[in-house]
Amino acid sequence: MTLHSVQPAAEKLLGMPGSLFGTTLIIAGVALFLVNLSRRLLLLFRSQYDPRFSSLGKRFLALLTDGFLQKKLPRFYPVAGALHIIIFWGFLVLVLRTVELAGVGMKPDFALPFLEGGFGAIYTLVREIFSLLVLLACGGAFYRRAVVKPERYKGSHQGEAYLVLLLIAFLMLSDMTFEGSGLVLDRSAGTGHLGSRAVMLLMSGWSSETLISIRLASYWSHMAGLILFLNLLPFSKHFHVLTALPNVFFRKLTRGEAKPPRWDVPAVEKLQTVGVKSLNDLSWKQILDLYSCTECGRCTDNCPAHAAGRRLSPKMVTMKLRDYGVGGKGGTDGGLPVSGGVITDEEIWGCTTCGSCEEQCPVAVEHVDKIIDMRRYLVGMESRFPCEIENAYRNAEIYGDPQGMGRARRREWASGLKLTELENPGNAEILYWVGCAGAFDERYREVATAFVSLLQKAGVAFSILGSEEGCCGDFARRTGNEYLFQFLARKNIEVLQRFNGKKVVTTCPHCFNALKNEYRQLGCTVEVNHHSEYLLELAGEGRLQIPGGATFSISYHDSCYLGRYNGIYEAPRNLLQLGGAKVVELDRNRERGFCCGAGGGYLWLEEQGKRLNEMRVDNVVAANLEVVATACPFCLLMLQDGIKAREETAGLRVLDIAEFIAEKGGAAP
Amino acid sequence: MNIIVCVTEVSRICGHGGVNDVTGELDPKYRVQMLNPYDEAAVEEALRIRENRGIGSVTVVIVGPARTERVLHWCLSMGADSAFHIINENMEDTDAWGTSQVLARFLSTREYDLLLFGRHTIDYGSGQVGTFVAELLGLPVVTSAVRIEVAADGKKATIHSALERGNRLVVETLLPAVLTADKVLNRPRYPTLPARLAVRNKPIQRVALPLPDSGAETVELPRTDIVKVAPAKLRPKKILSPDSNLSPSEKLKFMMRGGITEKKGGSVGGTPAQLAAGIIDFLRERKLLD
Repeated sequence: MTLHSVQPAAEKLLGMPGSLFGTTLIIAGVALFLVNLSRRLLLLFRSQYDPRFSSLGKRFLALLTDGFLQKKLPRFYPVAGALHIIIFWGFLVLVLRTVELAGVGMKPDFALPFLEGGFGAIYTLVREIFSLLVLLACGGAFYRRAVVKPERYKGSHQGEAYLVLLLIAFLMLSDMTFEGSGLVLDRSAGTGHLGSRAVMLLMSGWSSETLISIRLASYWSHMAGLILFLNLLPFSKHFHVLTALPNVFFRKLTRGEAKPPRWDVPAVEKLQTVGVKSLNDLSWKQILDLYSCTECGRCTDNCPAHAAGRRLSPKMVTMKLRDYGVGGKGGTDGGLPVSGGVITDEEIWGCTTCGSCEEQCPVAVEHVDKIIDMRRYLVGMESRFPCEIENAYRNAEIYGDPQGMGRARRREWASGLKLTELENPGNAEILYWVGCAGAFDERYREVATAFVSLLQKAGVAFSILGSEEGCCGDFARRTGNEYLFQFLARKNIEVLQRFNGKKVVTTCPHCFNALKNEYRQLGCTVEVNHHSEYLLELAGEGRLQIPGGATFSISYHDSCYLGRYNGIYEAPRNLLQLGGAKVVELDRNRERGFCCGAGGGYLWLEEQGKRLNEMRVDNVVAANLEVVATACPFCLLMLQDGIKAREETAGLRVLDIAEFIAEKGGAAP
Repeated sequence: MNIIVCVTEVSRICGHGGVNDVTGELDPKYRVQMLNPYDEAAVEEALRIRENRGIGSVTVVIVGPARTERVLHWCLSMGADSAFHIINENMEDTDAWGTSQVLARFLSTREYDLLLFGRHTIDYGSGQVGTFVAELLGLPVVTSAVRIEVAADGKKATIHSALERGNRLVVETLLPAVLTADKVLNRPRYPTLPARLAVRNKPIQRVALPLPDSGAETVELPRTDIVKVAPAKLRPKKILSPDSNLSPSEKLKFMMRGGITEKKGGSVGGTPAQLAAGIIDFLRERKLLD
């Protein structure tokens, strides 16, 4: 690094040596920051245990792709994403420069050893490029906020955002001025690049007194700005600068697995309380989530409940929790309860747990687990929940299914089919987990029958559990009734463990997710396949012959619990293609798939505002095809109801992928 | 105020299947275990009386085999203070009179201000036990209570009892008395997790049969034999044909209505909110709603 003739640390300021002033400023600034930081750390240290150190390889990879490479940022939001990437990378590049500048303020001849020589020259060029880009990006971001005004920023702290953008722009400009004025004073130091070169050209020929004053003023204002910025962090959403990368690193690796009430106490019977009453009941990752939220609003922008006009906005939930926690007396037991106080019942009960918010979040905030934890408090501690779900709770506990049909009728649907039950599982290759929808719902029984016919066609020896099967407990867990979930799960685990290692295949993504991801919290690991994967496997092995033939177009609706929760997007599509279908994508598909409206217990809850299934049918109608395929009983029933509610959809049919393969494989619908 | 609630388990819910086609008996494998909903309303009411008065206790009693203890767990998790289980493994061998005798003998050794029963069970549903027990104990009885108001001194109670067609009988009685609860009395609570877990600290006191002689004359338990459980016969559907005396247009109207004569009176329409408001107005006009 080149030494300029006028160094701030060597000049006197306010009657004291610059180096003393600089050292004092920096130490005071950092100390103030640490004091303010401690308030936030306190909340973090008071939080609950959360195991987030497994699979370090995956975590480092995520840190690289989602953290440093910002993979999620430009997806769906290219302009905002690009602007952020520039500013973020600029920050990374300018870290060195900041250290250097801080050093220069304390010691006149300060220099970072590795910034001498060749690397230093390259670094200077790169830094200058990024300084300019960041400056432009700040302008772009400012323009977006002030003029474009995206809907998703509604409710965010706008003033704070403007202040920080101005501050960053100012830091860039002051750095350029400091550098540029120095270059005029000391021609031997080089000609500068871009920003500082522009400043240099502008100021060449100015008197050296003016230049010295400008150089000192720009330096000290830069340092003041830097310290102001540092001290703004613990008071604003810009705290994400510090916590976002750790938050991405400690992200949840299995999205389908809902957090147990307490990671260190998996069995609900061992708990004194359940759910979140005060912020201290959150886990440390959940607190880190609150700190990492950037208020970008992508979650809310993609939230089906929000789109339907419900009160819920995932962004506001996170913001409200954080603002309550860091402001005033929040976070203690003396204040408002979190569930039903800071966050209203309406917000808590609005969620369908579709996971779209989490999928969109660039900093890996986990909204759904917090909603579930808040529901746990309301259900478990206060018995406060929408009254319409009580029957489902009672039915599941008494009869083993939310509809209240009873175990005796579990295999009624299969009375015409020749199936072996649990009594004779010896030669069964797989276990077909029928689920409550397959067993009891009149329409979905057709899907179960179609799937069985495919299994028989492929010569698979399979077995069903009949009356031994029970509700998987998904709806209970997602609505916060953890006691009921564990009660149901334990009954099923007892049965499943008798099968020891037999592969389970489900047609329901909710059962699939519960068996695959959640039963292991209670000590049961089973190999589970969704029927989309299994049928594809059978077709791949040549056991299941699917006649191809005429191609025609159908649309496919993604199930949240299959897609976002378990990453199965391609299997159902590939299967449809094998059956001769050309899959036409609906608006909002795959990661951005729009919830049918039945998840999170909503099959048994009354919807407020617009109906999600009818909104989804709008997308299906827009595709203008005769068949929409699904791979989930909830989606199937919801779409069917949505279609019934409209007139212009008379010819539209909803089929499960298994039905499509069984009935339509190779022939036009 | 000490309240004792006598409850029972219902396990025979034929609507949920599991009935042997040949014998008409419920397959024990498919037995459900639930608290009779009318008894649940009685427990809830007892809890509310206790909570309103801020003092007293709620005790639940069941006569039945060992498995019925699950029902007591539910009552305790709702908030009952203690529970007695009079173990009778052979419920099938007894009937309402027999059960009433057992209960009456047990209750004669206890102290209480109020005895609550469910109006009837939803399986056998004879609705007799409450009244039999009242007779055996020589207490006043009011059946089908839809509202219970206990006087401040705890010596009297005013009970609204359901009659047909929405009429109510308002009865005042001295306590102790036997009341049988209708389901519309209240909306039973759904137990919280701590309440469910607290059950572990509320021991159930088991009482074996035969009960020790309480001074009453020993009575032989009478038996009612079930001869047969006959499945419901489907009624032939009535097919209405228009009266031949009617004019063609009247006949047409008759057929268009599906053969059903419309009831007199207005009908409400509009959005669900307007519908609800209309229904409430209708009920208020007729003083069916306060």
